[in-house]
Amino acid sequence: MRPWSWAFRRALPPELDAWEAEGLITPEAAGILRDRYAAAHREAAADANLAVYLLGGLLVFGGMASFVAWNWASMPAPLKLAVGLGVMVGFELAGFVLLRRRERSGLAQALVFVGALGFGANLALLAQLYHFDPDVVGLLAWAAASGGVALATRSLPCGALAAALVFAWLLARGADVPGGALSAHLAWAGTVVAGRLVRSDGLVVVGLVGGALTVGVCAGVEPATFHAGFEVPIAFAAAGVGLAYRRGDVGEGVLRLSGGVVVLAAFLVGFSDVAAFLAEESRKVRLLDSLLGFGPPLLVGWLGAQRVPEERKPGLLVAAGMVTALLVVPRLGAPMVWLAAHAVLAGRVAWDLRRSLTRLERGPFWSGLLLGVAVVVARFLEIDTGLLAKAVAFVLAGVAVLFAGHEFEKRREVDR
Amino acid sequence: MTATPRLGWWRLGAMVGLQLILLALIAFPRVEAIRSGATVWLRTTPVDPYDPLAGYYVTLRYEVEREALEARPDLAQGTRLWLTLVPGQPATEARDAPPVWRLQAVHTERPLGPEAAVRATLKNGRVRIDGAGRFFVPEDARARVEEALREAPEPALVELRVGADGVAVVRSLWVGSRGFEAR
Repeated sequence: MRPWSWAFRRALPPELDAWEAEGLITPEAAGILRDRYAAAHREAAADANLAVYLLGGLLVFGGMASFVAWNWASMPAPLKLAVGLGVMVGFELAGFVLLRRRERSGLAQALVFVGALGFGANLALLAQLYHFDPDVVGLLAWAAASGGVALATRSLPCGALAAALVFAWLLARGADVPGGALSAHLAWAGTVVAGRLVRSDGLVVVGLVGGALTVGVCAGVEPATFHAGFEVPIAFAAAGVGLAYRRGDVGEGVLRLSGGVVVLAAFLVGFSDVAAFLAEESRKVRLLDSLLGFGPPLLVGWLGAQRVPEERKPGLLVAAGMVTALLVVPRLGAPMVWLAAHAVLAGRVAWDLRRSLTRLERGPFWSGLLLGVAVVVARFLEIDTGLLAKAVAFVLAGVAVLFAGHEFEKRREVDR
Repeated sequence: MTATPRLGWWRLGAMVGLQLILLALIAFPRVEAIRSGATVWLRTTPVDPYDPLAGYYVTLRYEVEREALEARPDLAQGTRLWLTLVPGQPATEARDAPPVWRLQAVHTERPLGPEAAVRATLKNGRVRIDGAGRFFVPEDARARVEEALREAPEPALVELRVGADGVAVVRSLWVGSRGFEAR
């Protein structure tokens, strides 16, 4: 069966119901069509399963990279190399065996994907052992290795990784090579077209991200020195408004957007530098000014809450709690601001996961899991945390995501 | 509908083999330079950034790189260069102080003489010796290296091993009287 797109799989069941209700097709024909496309549901579940596994795999890779970056002096170089190569080959072997047996394809793909990522960790290890900058040649070698793994195992995630690395290489070389920027534009546009042709949302997303990076670099933004300014929250807000309007219900959309902005604010405040800055700046702001600033959005949020279904109200309470925290907690110092932000994020993750597990809904499961991963990744990028602690945290988080994703999909299957 | 054929074991061998060959191609010239290359000491100005994949490191900006740019301001961006180096004055007045090597000439073709020659590239308005721009530091030694860099009265010294093919590998960093060996 051809690989149906996510949009098709999502749109088909209600369309069939509507056609049947309007008398466009008979109940028998509707039944035949449901049977014919039943595989699309299984395919959707497999895709979601794969995505969870890949997310877990990325976290495990983060752990591997942190361990390499820790640069443990007590471990001799040959042993470091042996461990690095052993982990890479071990993941690939395990994934390959599962693929050969046609068992647990999501897990198999994730294991192979971690192996392909492991090549990058080994490259970083070589750079560390021989003290060189692996950027340009390394990106191309990593892309070639990932492409080889993709061809050998027919792995789309590894293919997407190879494409992303080629983008990165083109961008790194763009300033030096004649036509480098044009090649990068052609590469991302080609990936989007290829993604559309094979109906792969993943490839389309990789292409679009590559396009955004290309446009950014061509506009003179250096990725290495990129500073998040006002344009970043504005871009998030614009994307949120776009999504909200796309859903057709503006009132609900605005509420979703408010919740999203609160979570985004908590995420930003979760960075210790931002928390310290906010705590310092907030001492200069009078309480009355804060009330005038936050009061109207709070009132709108409360009025909006009267319109939303019962189950969303706890989420709004979290939002209101966050606003209160922004008013009060900064006066207590940076550590409390940081803690409050993480309490909000943890609350939101827990709320989403609890709702997904009690109702077996995929949407909140994904949003909760992604938010949790984003927080862990953000802490990874902050260099204050010890690298060994990061390595352990990442591997544990990766294993937890793999376990949670597996259990969630299993429960959904049993329930169905 | 035809079933997808089962993956053959040769595919696993091919992909793992490709990965190992690529890593070996990157590592081999450096191993060879360490094994049989000439030892060269260069003055450098170090700074200390961080790479999320490979960890803490010191960026090395060699004096000979600046001198090479001054010697050949006519070169285009991206030009591959060869810098020939010769031993100069000792680094300090101590009896066993190593000589600091200085730039002899800048070539765009591989020189045939007996001098030590390192490969370099003109990029972003700077000449950079290929593959010798970083000195990685274990996390537990980071504070000591930072302190040494902060307190150093003069530019640091780097010991390089230069292979016959121009590949340079960093072997140690000396800041004042404190040395940090590459592991």
